[in-house]
Amino acid sequence: MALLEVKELSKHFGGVVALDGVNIKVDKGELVGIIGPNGAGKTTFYNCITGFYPPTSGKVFFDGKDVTGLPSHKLCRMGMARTFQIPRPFMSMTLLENVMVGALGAGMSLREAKEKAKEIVSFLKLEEQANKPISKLNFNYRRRCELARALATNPKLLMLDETFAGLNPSEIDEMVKLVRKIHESGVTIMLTEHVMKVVMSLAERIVVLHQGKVIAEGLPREVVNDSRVVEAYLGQRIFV
Amino acid sequence: MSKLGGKKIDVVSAVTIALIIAAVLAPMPIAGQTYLIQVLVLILIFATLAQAWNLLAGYAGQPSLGHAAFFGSGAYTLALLTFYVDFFRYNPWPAIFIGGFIASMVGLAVGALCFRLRGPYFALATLAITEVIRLIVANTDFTQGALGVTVPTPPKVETPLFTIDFAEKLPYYYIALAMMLVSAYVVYAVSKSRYGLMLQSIRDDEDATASLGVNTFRLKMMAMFISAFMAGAAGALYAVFISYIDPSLDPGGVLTLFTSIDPILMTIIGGVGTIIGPIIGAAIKVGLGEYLRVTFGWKAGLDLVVFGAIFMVVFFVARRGIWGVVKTVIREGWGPVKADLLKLLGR
Amino acid sequence: MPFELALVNAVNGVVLGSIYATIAMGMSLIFGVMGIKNLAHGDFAMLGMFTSFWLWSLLNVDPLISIPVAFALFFILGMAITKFIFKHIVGEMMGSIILTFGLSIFIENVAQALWGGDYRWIPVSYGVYKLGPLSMDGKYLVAFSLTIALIVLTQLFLAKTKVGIAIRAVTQDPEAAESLGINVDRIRLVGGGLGIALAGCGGAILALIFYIYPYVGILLTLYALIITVLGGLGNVLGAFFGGLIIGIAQSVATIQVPSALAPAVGFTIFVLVLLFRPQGLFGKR
Repeated sequence: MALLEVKELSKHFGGVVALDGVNIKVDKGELVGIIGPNGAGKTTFYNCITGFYPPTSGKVFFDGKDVTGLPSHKLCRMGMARTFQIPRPFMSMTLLENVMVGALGAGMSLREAKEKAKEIVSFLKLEEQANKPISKLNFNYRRRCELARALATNPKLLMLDETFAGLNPSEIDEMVKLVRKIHESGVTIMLTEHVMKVVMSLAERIVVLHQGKVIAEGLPREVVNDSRVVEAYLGQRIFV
Repeated sequence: MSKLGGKKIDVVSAVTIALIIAAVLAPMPIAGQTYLIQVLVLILIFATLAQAWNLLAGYAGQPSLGHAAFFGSGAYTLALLTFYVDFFRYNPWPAIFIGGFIASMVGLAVGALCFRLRGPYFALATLAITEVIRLIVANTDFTQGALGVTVPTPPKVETPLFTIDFAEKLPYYYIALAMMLVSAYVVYAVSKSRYGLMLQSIRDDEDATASLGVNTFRLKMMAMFISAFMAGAAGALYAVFISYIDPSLDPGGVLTLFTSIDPILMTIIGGVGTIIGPIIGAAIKVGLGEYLRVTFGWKAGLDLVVFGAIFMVVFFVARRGIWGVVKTVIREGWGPVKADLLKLLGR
Repeated sequence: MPFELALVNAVNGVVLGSIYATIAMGMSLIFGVMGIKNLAHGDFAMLGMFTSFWLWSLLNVDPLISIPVAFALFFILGMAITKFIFKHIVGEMMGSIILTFGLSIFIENVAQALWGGDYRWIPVSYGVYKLGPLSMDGKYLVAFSLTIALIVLTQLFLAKTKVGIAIRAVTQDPEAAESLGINVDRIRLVGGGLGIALAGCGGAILALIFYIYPYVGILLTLYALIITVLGGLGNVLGAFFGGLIIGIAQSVATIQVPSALAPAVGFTIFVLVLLFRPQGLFGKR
């Protein structure tokens, strides 16, 4: 059974059609990549299914249940977690405290949350920075904090939003290893990306969005060579 | 959260206990000076109100500009109960809790209406609602309208050892002290609990918090309940203490804009988001206010002119609040404070 | 009779509302160009009211002359305030609220200390005019026409002049404006001056039809705040419509509701609007 099933999802902002009848299925245990040129609707897609705003039409099923339009916190409790394109850490807290909030959201006590947070922090190799105020940590660590925080909610599905943007090549390699590690621990992953090298090496399957529609789907090598995809990206630089 | 070892925490506890003992003993030598005791009582009552605001705004990040609604609800609840019901006329003390409870109900209603708004919109909505409440109270017969309500002095309490005479100011001091300590402790306990961390995260970024599975609305309502309760209890005590409340806009009123802004001023002067900030702020604001009133009050408004001037100057010099400055100095030395001053002069 | 009563009230409401709106426009302008919520704004209007009053009372100056005088005076005052006070809190939400609150206390009580708390009134008359079935006090007509003139001139200034357009640019994106060669600091001076001038001049006009006392500033600030939010933060024209709505609603409501409760009507409308349209009537999300 599919963990996440999106049927005919559409989102209109006034006259602008951001998503137009999107159909996507993600099975348990998969690592799916969503790509598309700028403005294709990737973040809108995330926002619609994670409860930031309701879709104009269409349905979202998670774990077999209809979750269309449910608020963010309910979806998180059901197992859907996401990161944000630009990290949004809680600036008044340390990295560890940030991660703890994720665990608290899942209903743990303060002590349990601290334990869980420490576990995740070492899983993601962040022990050294754990007790530093997040306001003093750089972009790379804020990204990882975002990841750790989302992991702390015990997600079944982790949705990453351009997690690799703005990282230098060695940071990207580190991050790829971490994402793979998370995937191997049993979390289903969906990621949107611009950095093609990442998508090619991580994703088992790729969905291509263009102007709010799914224009191609399949194995990475097939999709990248699909003429429609190439056409959509024409004029855009593809980093392979 | 203090990361130093057990030693520092013990020092803090010891100092706290010492201060509490000092506070308990303080009025003894000046028991005869009713004016001073009165000022102290007011400081304690407003410190409680400031602490209440601090919980909702400083920790949970909801900047209420309408806490007078809760303070006033508590005051009016007690006053009307003593007015209409014999039992309370002779025994107003339970009414303090009832006042707090009614205020918290008002708070929940305000929250249900306004928590969908953020930041300045929330603030203005609470402001507007408080003013609407005040106008209704001022124009309704049940609440005695513009006449106000007189609260009778509670009867003496006789115990085998001593008599508590509520015509004196001293008993109120201890009740207010107890209330202030309880409110400080409540805010402290909340801040250290799992709720405290979640409220902080709501303050920092409500949407991100929601995406982590936290029911932000429920948490905000919880904070509101506690905050409004404390404000209401403080208001109820205030009503008994000054014996007369009315819905007018004059600075002494329980439903005025000043009453909503006072806790904000006090908390900011003292240091937002700290436990001791509101207490220091209340002491400074009430103390300074009284001093100025005595010194300059011969010309109506002059004391407030000086207050306004001092306030602006202090703001320029110490934006973090007094306690905030102290904390920064302890943690990072004089550097950041010097930097602030230089920036101000260099502009 | 009741219909005419309602009409007269409505017209009064329109006049009052448009004056509140002018003051609110000034507040909106200051917020737009400097990101400052000026809680002392109504107090500048109060000072404008007193300017008109004292010029009349001590020097027998017709209020009509005081009004442009007030504009000039408060423009200069506004620039001074911008330079010495507002400049330090540009963009700070909490900081501007706190500081301008202190300023508000200061100004109100200087007025109180200097002039006392008595309610004052300018008893000039400009005749009575018949508008159809209604008799209108000339003062309201004069006030209204002056207010409209002020609003129209301000809008023209913002839309057509180089400085006005620069002000709008700084309101939308100060950094972009700077990179286009606009002297943002100087524009802020002008914006601040204009904002305070609108308050002071609005106050001078208000003095024709409203009583004058030091603490009226608080009420005017409150109205300005509500109107600004109602119209959409930063939206100057929206503030005008917000003001009209408030003014009319309150005045008409006084027929059904005791006049002491009239402000409550305005505030209730405000809360209702916020609940259903949090960005205000015309604001963008």
